[in-house]
Amino acid sequence: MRKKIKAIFLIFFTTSFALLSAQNISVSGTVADETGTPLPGVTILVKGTKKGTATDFNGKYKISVAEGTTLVFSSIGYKKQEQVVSGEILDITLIEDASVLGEVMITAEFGQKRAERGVGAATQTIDGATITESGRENFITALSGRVPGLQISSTSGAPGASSNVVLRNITSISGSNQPLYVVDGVPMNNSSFDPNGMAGGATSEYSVNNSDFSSRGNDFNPEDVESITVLKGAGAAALYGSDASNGAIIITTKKGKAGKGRVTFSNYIKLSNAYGYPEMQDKYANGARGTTNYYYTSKYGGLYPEGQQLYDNVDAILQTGVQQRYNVAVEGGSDKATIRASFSQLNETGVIKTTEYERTNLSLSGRAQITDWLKFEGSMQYTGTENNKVRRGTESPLYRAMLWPVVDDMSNYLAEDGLHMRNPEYYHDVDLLNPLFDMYNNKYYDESDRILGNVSLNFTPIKNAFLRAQVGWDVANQTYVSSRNPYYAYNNAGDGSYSLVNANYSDPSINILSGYDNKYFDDKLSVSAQVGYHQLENKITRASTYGTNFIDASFQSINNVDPLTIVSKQRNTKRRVQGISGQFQVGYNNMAFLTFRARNDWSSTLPKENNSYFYPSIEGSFVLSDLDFIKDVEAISYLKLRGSWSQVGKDARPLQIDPELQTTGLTGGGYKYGFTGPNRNLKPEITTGQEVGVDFRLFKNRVKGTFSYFETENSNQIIQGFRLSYATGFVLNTLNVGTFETKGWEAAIDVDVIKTENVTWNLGVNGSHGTSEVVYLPENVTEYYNAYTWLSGNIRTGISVGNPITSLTGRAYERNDNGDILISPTSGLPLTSSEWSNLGNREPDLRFGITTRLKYKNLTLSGLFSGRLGATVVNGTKRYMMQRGTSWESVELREGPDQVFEGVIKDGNENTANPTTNTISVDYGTYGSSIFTGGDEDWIEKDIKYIRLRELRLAYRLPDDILKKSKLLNSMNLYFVANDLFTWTNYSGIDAVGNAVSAAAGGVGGEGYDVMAIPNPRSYSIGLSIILN
Amino acid sequence: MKKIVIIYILIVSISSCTSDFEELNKNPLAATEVPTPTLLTSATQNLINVNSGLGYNKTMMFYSQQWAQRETTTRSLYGLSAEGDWSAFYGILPEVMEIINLNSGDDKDRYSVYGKNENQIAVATILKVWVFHNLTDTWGNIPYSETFNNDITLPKFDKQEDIYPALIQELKDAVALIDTNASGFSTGDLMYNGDMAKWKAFANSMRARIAMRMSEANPSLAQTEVADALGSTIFTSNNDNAVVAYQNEEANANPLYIEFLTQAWTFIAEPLTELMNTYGSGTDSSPSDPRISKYADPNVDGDYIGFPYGLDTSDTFFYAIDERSLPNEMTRAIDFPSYIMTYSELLFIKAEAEQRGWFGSVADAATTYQQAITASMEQWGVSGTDTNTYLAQSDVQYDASNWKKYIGEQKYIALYSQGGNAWSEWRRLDYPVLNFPMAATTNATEIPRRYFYPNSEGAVNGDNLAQAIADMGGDTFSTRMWWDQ
Repeated sequence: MRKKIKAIFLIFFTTSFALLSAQNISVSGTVADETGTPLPGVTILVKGTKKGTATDFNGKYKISVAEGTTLVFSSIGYKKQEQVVSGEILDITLIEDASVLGEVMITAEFGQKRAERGVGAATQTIDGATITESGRENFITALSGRVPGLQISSTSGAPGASSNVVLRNITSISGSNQPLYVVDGVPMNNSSFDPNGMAGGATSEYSVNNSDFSSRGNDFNPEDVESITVLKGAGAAALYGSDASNGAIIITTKKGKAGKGRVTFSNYIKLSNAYGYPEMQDKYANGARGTTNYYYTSKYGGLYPEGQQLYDNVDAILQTGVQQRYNVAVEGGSDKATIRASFSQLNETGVIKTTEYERTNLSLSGRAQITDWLKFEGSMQYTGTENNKVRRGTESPLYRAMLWPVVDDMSNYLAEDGLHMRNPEYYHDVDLLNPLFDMYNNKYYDESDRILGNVSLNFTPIKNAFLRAQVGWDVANQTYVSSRNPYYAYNNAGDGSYSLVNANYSDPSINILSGYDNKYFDDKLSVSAQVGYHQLENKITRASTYGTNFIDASFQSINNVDPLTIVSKQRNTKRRVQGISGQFQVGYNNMAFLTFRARNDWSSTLPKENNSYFYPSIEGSFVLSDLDFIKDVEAISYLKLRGSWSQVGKDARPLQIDPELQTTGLTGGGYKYGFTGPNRNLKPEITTGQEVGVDFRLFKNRVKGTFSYFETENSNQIIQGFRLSYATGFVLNTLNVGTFETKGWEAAIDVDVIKTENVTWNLGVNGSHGTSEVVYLPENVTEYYNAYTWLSGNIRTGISVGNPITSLTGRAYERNDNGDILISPTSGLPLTSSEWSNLGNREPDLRFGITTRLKYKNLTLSGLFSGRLGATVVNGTKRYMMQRGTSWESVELREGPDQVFEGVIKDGNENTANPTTNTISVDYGTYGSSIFTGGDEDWIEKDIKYIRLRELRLAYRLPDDILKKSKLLNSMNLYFVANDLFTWTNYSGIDAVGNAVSAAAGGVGGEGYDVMAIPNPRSYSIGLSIILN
Repeated sequence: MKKIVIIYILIVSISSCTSDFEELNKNPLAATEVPTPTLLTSATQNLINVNSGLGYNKTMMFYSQQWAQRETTTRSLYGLSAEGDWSAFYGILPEVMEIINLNSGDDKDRYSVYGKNENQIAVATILKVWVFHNLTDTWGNIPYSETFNNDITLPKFDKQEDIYPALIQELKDAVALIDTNASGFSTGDLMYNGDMAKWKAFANSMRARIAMRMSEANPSLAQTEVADALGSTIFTSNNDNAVVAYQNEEANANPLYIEFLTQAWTFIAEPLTELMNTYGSGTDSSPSDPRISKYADPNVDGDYIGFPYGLDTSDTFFYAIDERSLPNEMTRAIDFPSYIMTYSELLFIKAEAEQRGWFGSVADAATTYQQAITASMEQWGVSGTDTNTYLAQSDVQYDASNWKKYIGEQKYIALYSQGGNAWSEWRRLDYPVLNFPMAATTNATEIPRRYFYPNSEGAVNGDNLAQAIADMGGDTFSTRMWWDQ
């Protein structure tokens, strides 16, 4: 009993003590800059203690302290300010500190912060809000146009399409050119599934030209992004080693903010419409030589009869795409620990019927200061996706819809029995496939479940030293299905096929870093050193099954195929890279820095003798604006010169060393070799890069700019599928061949043109330029090409010494010494050379982006333009339409006068002083454009100028005085975004920035090939985001 | 203390796995080292598919005018299609070379369970020589000494005159390795089922073939080697023939069977039926050579009439299918074997050696010649009575003063179904007399004396190819072999 009383007393005592200390008052207010813009993330500390808080997104804070306490307000880039608490409201205006602004920290390798001053390579940081506000469902496309030197090409406008990302320039002829994606220090798999090598995967429907599976980077929820740092070039990401030889994109996720817990809710709805697809002529019917005949698919027939009903069959495959995303995030915590959880659901239907993309994201992240010397951080993201798609290229619905005779209503795709594919009216030949039958009756989708997680411990055993250990894991299970209804075949007479692939990958990584930094000689000399151990594994297991001969024609399942036709394959690969890294930096007076970095990797994909490779780098920076005589120049707020030299090695893909034996169906069960031979001498690729640059801020930071010039040499290129003499015993091999150089520049400038209390107008322009030259290929190779780029006529990406690696080659016209085109004396048509020659360069002279933001009180209008100048594009769509007579141009040609091609007759006199000028006229009137649809040269459009309004956004933020009245509502934003609204270009095809090859292909990619792709649709979205306290 | 524990944990976790990187880079699901019999099976199957297939062999059956094409006659008129043949020959070698590697490497004991290492190497070497001999006889100079070397991606072309002695040496080395008391391949040997004595006989018989082929180019070496080979263990009956049967299943079927499942465009050529029918008093309806009924099917009238050789595609339609002879049904059977070298051929070599005074006595040549024909008759299942009737005919009886014609024609007939071999012997002996088709494409101006190089080689090994062409004096159908000058 007595004990009980004691306990009650104790409880009473402690509670009243708590009440006593609660005599504090609650102070709140807004922290803003000189223009009145609220400042988020300002640290507020009770002077002399560690107690404190920080401002939220809207610059608001709330803290409970005793009256008379001094609060210290600080934020990077602003002068520290102290205020004594004298009431419940305390609004603060922070003054920018030009000199302190230099202390910007960037997120470097492994999530480590580095002072921007000391970095010698080009980096750029994009904040999460920019990504979420872009109206894009994936963060990769959202970056487009914002970072100079970052090239992003979507392979189509279809939901879930892969995107090919290149930082600076292409660095590998046949390997991956994608940068490394890193989430909170852990590499994120961004592969695109390549169905080649799967069971039944040899057919064209599985090629990288005709199929496209999502890039796994699309999985990431843009709402979870706190910031993205782009480390350009090998030098910036040197410590990441092999995988980052193409640069790195570092994503820092939101970890929750301290202070009062809050809930963020956002939602948008987006409507999209296809536009810009080619217009088909509706004047002449199918046929030849002016006679209508629906047995022909080309349209050189007679005029459609009066009153003939014509159908827009391209329209029949299209619909209005609808996209919706909901996102809820909860966060909160104390100054010791914060936590954030979010849920997001994205549903999208594309502009092509039956295309769908669904994504569910769940994430949990947080950080905790466990003791003074131990900090924990962790995050975990789950992503589930489902993507129904359509094929591309010559298997695409657009291609097939354009073949369908317009006198027939293609949308009626089923035969009367409701099972078979209907053949078009008027047309009794049976080799036309109805794309709608394909879309509704065949399966073509992928599904994925993925978890990306990491935990890290940061340990500070003694002052100025740290030890950080991080374990991350990226695991996913994916299913890919592609099937064909038996009736989706010529004459409805197919067998039906079903292909099922299950792929798992598991990428664990470990990074352990330890460092020490200190200052000496009155803080004049700073020294920091860091060593690290790194381990990464990529394990892929894939099992595939393929079968044909459906037993029940209408039932699509692997269980419905003839069991005797089932073929299965399994393929597992594993790669492990272990590395140690070191970094040593000395700084003088926080003004001049010199950094040495080095890494040694051991990779399992290289032969034992060559599997250890070391590569160093060095970088330096000098903050000129800290020099006395520049400090006084009012106009210059910050000026830094930087430079770096670096080397990065890159290993091969797994299983390239030993040839594999395959079973044969031969007597006695034999084993035989495949086509690819062994290479036990494979060496790592080496990328050597150097760059110089300048970063500056002028006029009290109203003008910010950066410029970099870089040169890179890529040697020992590992080329897969390199053709060899049969006499070596193998047709193909993986070899270290090829060296090429790239150079170029990047620049960005950002200006606050107007900066007043109510109105601010910011304008940013960025641009980049890069050229490349192949300097070495083996002597016997005059042209190396990737077969998958051979997409239109004889045009392909041919790599030859002395030319850029993005060169287009094709069969040009024959010409005489004078340069005149040679004409055949019999047909009057230009003659085509049998040799391939260089026809152009896909890489534009300039890639640029323009951002603008006009803010008036609570209204913000912003825009993003991106564009290219001087690119060369292959207009495969137009060529195809000309061949078939489906374009208006072909009608013009047909109705116009007979053509006499300019040139000289190849009659033996072509190289004499008096060549015979061609006078032979070609009868387009009778034959239509089919008589001559042009050579490769004619379908290459040069000097393409292109600018697209990627994003136009109007946002309204609820004014503070309204918000203040609400206890619950912390902020509310309403916005309207239009994406891909307009394009201005001198290009005459569908999509000047199209990419006809799935990102899975790697190598030189398919940018600049416009072949029957679906361009990015025009879309409008309306959205709302609310933060509740 | 806590800090120390944490440091300890970190250090322990670092010191993990620098272990077996090499294992990681091996595909656990794909074989990289397999039992050697499976390689032998695969190589043998590849070999017979060249030797009796629809690619190289069929082309050579046309060039030697033993078969004729109906409908599309591009190939028999010397249209270009060398690509696949070049790769098919070289494609036999990876498995063959791997047998040699595995049996001579550090782990060779592991493979001795499938047969004595040396015996396995010998078998593989014999097959390797067969491949290179056919390659050089088809193209002339070819990559040989620098092939299958991981360090050489651009192999040079060796001269034929250097390849011949090297091949002969390889065969001698192989024979030296053979231990007939020890086991050969325990399984997977489709040709001799592990009987090393027979492999030895094949190696020596093939050496006689190769040596005899340089009879005009290097007679002294030819003489030495032919004589030496004939004096060693060689074929002594048709039971020793190098022959591999096809199987009674479509995956391993006789290629001609597969072709005839869908089309009947390949006929016996008229020059062959004429030659075989008209010795002595023979006619198309009563042919003098009894083997014709084994080679060819009778036409609708019961006669053996081949299809005219070398017609334009459009002209072939003037000849009714049922009036001409197709390859005999037996040779189109699913399991009809592939003949690589026969006893009969060896006896013809022996007869020629005797005739040339290189071996035995000149007087024996006539007898050996008859034995050779008899062996061929026996091989094709002709009765002894029919054989003797045939041998008795005046045009068949050996005439030593015109021995090239007699041996040439009879060897040509006996080599039926071995197109490449028949073509080579025709090039060497210039018998029987074959006519150049008037409708031939402009690629050729005479019956080809060799094959042109494939385009792909120029793309991947251009400099070496250019050197080879310069050495040979051209790359045409008329460029002569070293042994056929």
